[in-house]
Amino acid sequence: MTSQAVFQFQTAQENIHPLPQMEQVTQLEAKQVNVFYGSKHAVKDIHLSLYKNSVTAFIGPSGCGKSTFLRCLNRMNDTIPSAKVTGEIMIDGINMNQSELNATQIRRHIGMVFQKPNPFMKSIFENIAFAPRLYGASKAECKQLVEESLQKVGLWDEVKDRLHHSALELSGGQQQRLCIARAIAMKPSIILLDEPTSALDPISTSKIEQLILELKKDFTIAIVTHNMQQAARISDYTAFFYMGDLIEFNHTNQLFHQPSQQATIDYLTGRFG
Amino acid sequence: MEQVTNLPNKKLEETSLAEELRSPAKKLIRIEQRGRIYTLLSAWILIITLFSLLFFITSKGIMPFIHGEITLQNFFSTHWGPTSAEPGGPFFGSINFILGSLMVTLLSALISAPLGIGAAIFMTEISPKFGRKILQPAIEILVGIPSVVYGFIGLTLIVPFIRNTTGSIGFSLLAGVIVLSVMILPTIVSMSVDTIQSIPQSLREGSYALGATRWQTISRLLVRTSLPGLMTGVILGMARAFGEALAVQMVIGNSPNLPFQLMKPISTLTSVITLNMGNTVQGTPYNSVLWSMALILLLMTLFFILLIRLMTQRGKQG
Amino acid sequence: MNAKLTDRIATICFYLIAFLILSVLAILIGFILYQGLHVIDWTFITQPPGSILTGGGGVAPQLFNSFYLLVLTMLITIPIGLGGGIYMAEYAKPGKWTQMIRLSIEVLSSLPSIVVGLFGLLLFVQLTGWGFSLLSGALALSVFNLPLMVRVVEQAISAVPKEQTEASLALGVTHWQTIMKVILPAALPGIITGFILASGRVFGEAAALLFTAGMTSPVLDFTNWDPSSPTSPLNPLRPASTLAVHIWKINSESIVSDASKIAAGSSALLIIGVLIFNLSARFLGQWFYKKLTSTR
Repeated sequence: MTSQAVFQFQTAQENIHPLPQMEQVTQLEAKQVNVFYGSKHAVKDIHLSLYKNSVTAFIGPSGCGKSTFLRCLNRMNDTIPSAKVTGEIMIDGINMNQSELNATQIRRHIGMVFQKPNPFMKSIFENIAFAPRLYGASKAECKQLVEESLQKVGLWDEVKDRLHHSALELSGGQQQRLCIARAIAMKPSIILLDEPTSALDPISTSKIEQLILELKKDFTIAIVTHNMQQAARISDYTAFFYMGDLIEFNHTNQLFHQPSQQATIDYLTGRFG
Repeated sequence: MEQVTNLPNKKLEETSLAEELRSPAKKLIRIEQRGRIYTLLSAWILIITLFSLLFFITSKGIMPFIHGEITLQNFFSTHWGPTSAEPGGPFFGSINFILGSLMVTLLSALISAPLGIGAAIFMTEISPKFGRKILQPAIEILVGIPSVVYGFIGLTLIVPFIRNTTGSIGFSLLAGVIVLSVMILPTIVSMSVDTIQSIPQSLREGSYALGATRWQTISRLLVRTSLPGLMTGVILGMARAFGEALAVQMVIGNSPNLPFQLMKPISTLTSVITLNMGNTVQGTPYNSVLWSMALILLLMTLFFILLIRLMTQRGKQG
Repeated sequence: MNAKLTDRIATICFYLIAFLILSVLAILIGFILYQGLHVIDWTFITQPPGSILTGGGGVAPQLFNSFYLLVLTMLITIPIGLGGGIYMAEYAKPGKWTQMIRLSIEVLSSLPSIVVGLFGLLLFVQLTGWGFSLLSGALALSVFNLPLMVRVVEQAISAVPKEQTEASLALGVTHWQTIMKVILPAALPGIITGFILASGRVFGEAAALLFTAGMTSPVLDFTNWDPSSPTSPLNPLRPASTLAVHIWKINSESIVSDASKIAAGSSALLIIGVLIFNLSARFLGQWFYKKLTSTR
């Protein structure tokens, strides 16, 4: 990176958060979000909104804070003892980033899917029915939820005859779709995806991308990806992170074709990252 | 065990996040707290147990000296005659037993350390496959054999063997050492295996690349790098040997001799305690002195643990 | 050339050591079984010991006591061991307090069992007034079994992939429920293996029992299952000598005519018991693991 690029970030500081000019319902709004890991300032003063029934992609070189920021949005950083998150994250008119609010209840409404498929060491059925049952779903409801969720992720026909087999028997791509099914079975309003296809082959990846476009109808989606083409293919909005800063946030089309920041241009043209 | 009951029974779709957050699920928080308290109490029990044990054994052990039943001078002498009616008696000299315990411990460690470390090297460097499939289970079975069984084997196999080959009575320091060195072998082996395995493979490859033979790599590189870990294993074994009671008591002869002759019967702290605790009357000096010996056993254990801690710290620094 | 020769000799030495250890084990097991197996018959495991004069009889009460004591000890240590292990693996934060618990575990697990027995004598036998009893014995055994169990649980839980925990938390499942429903089931194979191995140790322990559970067994009436009756085998407040204690007792203090025969038979029983514990620990652990990860 050149010194000129650094200069560019600094001068651009004041106008880096142009919110897209579009009639959209805000689902979640992050204001002045900072994350510290011990003394490391991992995420700096982020202001960003997720819009209802849209896909927002977080891109940027590895270590830029995009995953860390994503994990703030359902309070998963609570599980890391050294992490401290400041700022406000508004949802439904309430700031959920308050330690006295129960993170468990937040996560129930904001689902998350991880980089590596991580089905439970349980049967396919149990993987999906497990959490709803704890929240009071009856046997019949569970059964219905399992079928519904598996249908939605296009896994139903593949596994309907072996629902009580271990989920670990599935292929990587199937496992990841199962994880998505598990998340949507909780009927969340937002689904966070943390590089969900980085461990998968191209065919499984394209299936998941299709699925994300499908899911957009029912959910608000935020996805972290290191793959710019993927962001371009599936997202409506894109946020570019660099070294803990949100450099640029715009409609995906706009950001990819008329980036306003030098750093974004450098990243998109492959000069770093 | 805490039973997990179902959480708020509102239907999944019917609640909005804000609504839920403004009225937190008390039940959910309560279950969480009860679980935390239950595990915390369990952890507390460990600490309470340890401290009450330290307190009881210590107070019981120093009692005879505080009450003046036994003088320190008497205790730290070599004259044992707890029922002696001679002038100046009874005599509670325990030095012979302390030395006896130290002696069996040291000698068995001397035998067991090279064997144990050698076996560990065999399992990690020479033939890992055979080591894992045959030697590892064998070691695990050795750990599992109860100490009375070791004692019984010593009594019926080793003691007669020594008797027949040397013409002594057979019950001896030597018999104790043989039994103990088998008993502590597994401790030394498993600790050594762990240490040697943790040495990065690249180090070995570097040594072989320089043209060193396997023995040179083992003796110059592996043993030296893993020395603190190996020593920890040996000390753990020694701690076990020092505290072992029944197996030793069964073969060692139980005479209050100084432990400087291999073929002679001797006594250790544990054997004296084991044999006499049940046969002496509570409150008599004879009984009290046994508690003082138990305190010494306890202190030695603490000393061994201190040594191990120092070792592991050195291992981390090196 | 010289270096190569040394290498050869060293290799041979290592093989000799391995061979030596295996033969020691073979001799131990072979000797015990050779001496003891022919003593073991139906009478031996179902009859009480004969009188001092006639000898003969069996070790039925001792065998029963060994198992009963094991059950009592496990009843005490499993819940506490699980709790302690979960605490150490999931809740403990680095700091003085956690170091303290770790030190306690280390010290308790390396205490000589005779010292634990003496502690039991003071606290459970004398102070509580229970006298020599199964309950005192079980509590003493718990003192040195507990740290082992805590370690087993902690290690088994730590071996569960972090992703499992994350997946559960991200679904809005509480930490405690995640532990109970996701982590513990996944850790179960390791926990079961560890518990069975610990059981083997408890089964063969004698030194801690001499002065807690005592060295004698009252005449037991195996048709009386009322735990409050003094002749009932189930009464936890009666004295009880276990198989291991019995071996020690007849070898060092007894004048029974056929002491060595009984000791040989009991040793063989004990060894067989320990071997069964060992094998079942391996087998059950693997079986549970398979059940967990593959077709149900």
